[in-house]
Amino acid sequence: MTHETPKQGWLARLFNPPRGSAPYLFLMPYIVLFLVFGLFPLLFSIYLSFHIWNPIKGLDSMEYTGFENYVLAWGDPVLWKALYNTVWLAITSGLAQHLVAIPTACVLVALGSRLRHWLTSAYFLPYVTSTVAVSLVFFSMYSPNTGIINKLLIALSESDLFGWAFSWVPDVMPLRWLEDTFLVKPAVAFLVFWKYTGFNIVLYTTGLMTIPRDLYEAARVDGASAFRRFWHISLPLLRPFIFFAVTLTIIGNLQLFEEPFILTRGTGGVGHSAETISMYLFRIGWEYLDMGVASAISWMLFILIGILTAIHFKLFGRQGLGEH
Amino acid sequence: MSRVQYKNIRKSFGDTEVVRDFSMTIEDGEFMVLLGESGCGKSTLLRILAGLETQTSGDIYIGERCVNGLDAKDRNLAMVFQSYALYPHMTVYENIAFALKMKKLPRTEIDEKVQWAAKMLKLDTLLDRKPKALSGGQRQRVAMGRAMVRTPEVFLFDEPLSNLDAKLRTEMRHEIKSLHRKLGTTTIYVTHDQVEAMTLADRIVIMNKGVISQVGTPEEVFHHPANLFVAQFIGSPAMNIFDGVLTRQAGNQWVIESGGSTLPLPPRFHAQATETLAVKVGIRPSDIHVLEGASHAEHLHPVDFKVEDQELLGAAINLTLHTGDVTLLAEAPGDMKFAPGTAQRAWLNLDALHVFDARTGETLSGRNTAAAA
Ligand SMILES: Nc1ncnc2c1ncn2[C@@H]1O[C@H](COP(=O)(O)OP(=O)(O)OP(=O)(O)O)[C@@H](O)[C@H]1O
Ligand SMILES: [Mg+2]
Repeated sequence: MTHETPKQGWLARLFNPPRGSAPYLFLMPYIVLFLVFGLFPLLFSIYLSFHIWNPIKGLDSMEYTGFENYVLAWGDPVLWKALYNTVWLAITSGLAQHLVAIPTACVLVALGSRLRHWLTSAYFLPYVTSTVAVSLVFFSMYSPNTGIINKLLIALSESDLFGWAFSWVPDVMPLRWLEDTFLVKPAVAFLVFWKYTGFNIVLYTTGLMTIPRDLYEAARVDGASAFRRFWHISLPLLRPFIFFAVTLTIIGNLQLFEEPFILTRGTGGVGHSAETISMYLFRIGWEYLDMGVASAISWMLFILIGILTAIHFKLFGRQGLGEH
Repeated sequence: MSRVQYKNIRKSFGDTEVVRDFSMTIEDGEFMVLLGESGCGKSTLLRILAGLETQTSGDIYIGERCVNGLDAKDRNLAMVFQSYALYPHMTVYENIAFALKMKKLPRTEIDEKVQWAAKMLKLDTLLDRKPKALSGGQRQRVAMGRAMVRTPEVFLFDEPLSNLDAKLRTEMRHEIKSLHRKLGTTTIYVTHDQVEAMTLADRIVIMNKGVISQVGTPEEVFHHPANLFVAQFIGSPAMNIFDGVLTRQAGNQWVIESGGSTLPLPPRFHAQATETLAVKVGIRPSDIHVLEGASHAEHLHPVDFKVEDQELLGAAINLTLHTGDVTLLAEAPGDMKFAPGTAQRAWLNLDALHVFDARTGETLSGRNTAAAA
């Protein structure tokens, strides 16, 4: 007999793990999933962006090209068109979302709790509904001949009450919302606006609820009208929430994909008129089967989002985060 | 500056009636203090006057004008909130200037007034700070400044000193009083601190569960409480109250029998003594003397007690005395010595004796009821 502890078999070791490792073992399922589906693709896409690779031809076809993918993407006018579209959609729908959400939230808070709960739930519904389903519904609403939007415009132009304001409608019918290069961006922007405003309303309602009631009462006694109470009390105290919501909007809107993809049936619209950067890199990757360039573009998009968010933080961060 | 009238004000939140038929006139320039226990409806009354709450029924007059339905922003009142309600995103200067800005006064005039208030409240070095960077007392002064620059018709204070320490409280009390002397603006001041009420008020309203218990000057409510509630509420340490029976003795002499001893009924209650009656008798600890000095005076009535306990407070001793089934608190000079368990004679000041009907709680002395009307 020696004094050595008996050698443990692998099975025994598995059921008798070293001290202190228990937390990590419990976290293992998540860590494994994160490594496989989170970290690996991230690093792999950096690697890819410096290679030419057609995924169909297998891993052997990978070829190092240095910065060529980046140069290639940079020189493609469609990239700049897509970038313009993305920023246009982000600003138009984003601005509208916040300009509508803030006053709506104020009204909701003033309505009292029961009505507020019902209405915020209703406004939130689009946000939790499947984007694909919603986009398909909007697709049919925008349809030139059978869509409800054009039908409504025609009905309005024929009505006695509003006819005078809609006399231009018959001349331009049918409006091709999703094919017209001029109309398609607003059409997409409206869907995005409709889908995400509710989320912002909920956020701003929560924000408004944190403002003590007595501040409004003090302002009232100080002679401030409802609008001035909104302007001098609600708005400044809502700043951290506005900052947070706008950050989310910047990050989300720059990655816009499903809505324009489905509304334009994957084409990006006539002459790339509604193609966003995400759609563009999707097309490069899966239609042209050029994963290298697609990865390069996705990293360029990442850097763009980073820069814009940084500017936003720089400009509004100190106030936005409530540091005085 | 204006006279304020509450006329038959009622206020219910849902099923609970918080204010019941409240009527009162506050004269032009008067300093009126609303005093009462927590939750008796003081803040509610202020908020109704300010227009932050709507009365269920009744009328509010400011000056000659009925202001029912007039929005708070148009009533031209200045209010200091219980919570101060400073605007957290504005500097001290902006906080004080806010109401003036709302009135669209010219910039130079605003500046003049803010500087004046800041100097008066010793805030001049703090004007650029945000409320977060102020101490409780400084915040309270900012809240005061916000009201002061207004030249309102009425000042409303809702327990403005409740968050301060004792020293600051005394200091601010003096500042509020001198401010009122200087400006002469009608003021309604809510508190549940009776020292504040006694020192500040021209008149005090004592509220009990949404109704007025007594209205009067500080002297009146202290020396002539209209009922048991006021008697027990005003004064510290609280008035001794014990049960007694008003009885007629031989020779048409009315006495109060209590716990085996007999007290002669003070002359001022004689007119009310018509039948045998269960009463509550009240006497303040300061009206029970243990020094023999003035023992021959007519109005001092000797009673033999047993000392139960003593509590040295410094200048005075709180003495717990016992006789029969009555226990009383007396105030003795701080340099005297007492031993628990020993006998002690004490003299009750009959002039300061209060007698209340045990059933209704109202005083038996007629002239106090007149004062409350
Ligand atoms: N908005 C409201 N809804 C329901 N009940 C209320 C409301 N506001 C006040 N009350 C009730 O009315 C009563 C009086 O409230 P009020 O704030 O006037 O008391 P208070 O005398 O100012 O008390 P404190 O000294 O604690 O400030 C309380 O019982 C309170 O619970
Ligand atoms: Mg109160």
